[in-house]
Amino acid sequence: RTRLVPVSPSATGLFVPVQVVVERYQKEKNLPPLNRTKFLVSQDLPLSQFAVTLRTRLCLASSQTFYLLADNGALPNMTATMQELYREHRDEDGFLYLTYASQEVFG
Amino acid sequence: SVLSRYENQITILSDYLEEFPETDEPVWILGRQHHLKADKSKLLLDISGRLWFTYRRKFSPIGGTGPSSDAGWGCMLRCGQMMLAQALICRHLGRDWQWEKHKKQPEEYHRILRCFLDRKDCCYSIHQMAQMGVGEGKSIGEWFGPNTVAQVLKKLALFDEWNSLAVYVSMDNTVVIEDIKKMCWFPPQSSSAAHSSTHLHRSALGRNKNTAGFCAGWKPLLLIIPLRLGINHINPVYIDAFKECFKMPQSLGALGGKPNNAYYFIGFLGNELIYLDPHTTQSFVDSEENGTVDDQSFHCQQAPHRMKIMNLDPSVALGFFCKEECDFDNWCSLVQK
Repeated sequence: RTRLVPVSPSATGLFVPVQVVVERYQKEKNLPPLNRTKFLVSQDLPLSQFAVTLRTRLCLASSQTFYLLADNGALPNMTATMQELYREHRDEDGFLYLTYASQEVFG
Repeated sequence: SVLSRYENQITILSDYLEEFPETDEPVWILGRQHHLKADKSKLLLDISGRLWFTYRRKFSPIGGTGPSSDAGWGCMLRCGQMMLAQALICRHLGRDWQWEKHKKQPEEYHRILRCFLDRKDCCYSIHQMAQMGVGEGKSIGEWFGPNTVAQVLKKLALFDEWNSLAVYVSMDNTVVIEDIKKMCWFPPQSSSAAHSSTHLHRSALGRNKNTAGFCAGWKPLLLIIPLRLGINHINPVYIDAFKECFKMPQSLGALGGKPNNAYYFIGFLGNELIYLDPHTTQSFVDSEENGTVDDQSFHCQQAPHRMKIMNLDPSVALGFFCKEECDFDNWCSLVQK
């Protein structure tokens, strides 16, 4: 019964999820679009785990490239937690924006 | 005559542009430092010594009925061949081996070259690469990215018994040291690495740690790291780190290019990258009866190509070769810096 009591996020500080928007790079040709782009992610989740979740959602093979880039076009460290990323790259609207892309092709 | 004088000046100008500038800055080529003023000929020899693969025409049709030329689509595949060829040169001849025109080359050199001839029975031929790309979702004649070419090389290396390379392609910008160690170690006493159990791996590791510096049982490692260093353009924060890679003794350069054109980057001078360009179509060359290959068209003997690093397309793949385990350990410590 106690589990039904909603935990106040501000009281514990632990369960405040990070609000993330994941967008496809506008010129991306290989990767499919996501059917959902807004995510609430646990603060202590490493980016690598979040990337695995997105890979699964997009049904990607392990040999396909999938890069998550921060707003400034930097590749964040995959071991960083979502909270660390949020602190560094949060937008003024309160969301963390990530862009995903594969690699370009050359002839 | 006035016109011809102008033409003369134009050619002089274009020659000048191709030439290296007079500078005290060092040139780095695949982990070796060169000084332009003191030793320009050595630098040019080092560049022309790299195996250079270009578009070719008049080879036997891929898959029997496919294209008999890769002009217009094969440039990333050719760059992958160049990087692998450099790994094989390091493996069999060493980084300090030098190629000289019209000189008799060692047997290993011809054997390496024969791996890349445009025939369906050569293990890293354009035929094998294009057909292996089908499994990566690329139909024959379709353009590749750096990662696709790396995945193809990884698969083809499994069939290459002569070189027994371990090819590791990092995913998600991450190199897992333990995975590499597991992949490269095999029990020296076992005839087949495929049958080794984890238990044997452990015991082999343990024993070799006792005898310091003993590196038998380590498969030569080709390490490829596909990256995306920005969205539309290369992010300037990565430029120094990218250049730093060419200074590492394990460097095999980088696969990449400017938008649409793949190049094989082998070094840099200041803010310019030095590369080998596959965008020249030459005729197919086969081996002679005695197994040697007429190699004149496999070395680029023109002035080296250069481009501004800011024009680099962000999709690249870094290559490294670690012949012994100690080379890999050294690589790990260099990267952490």
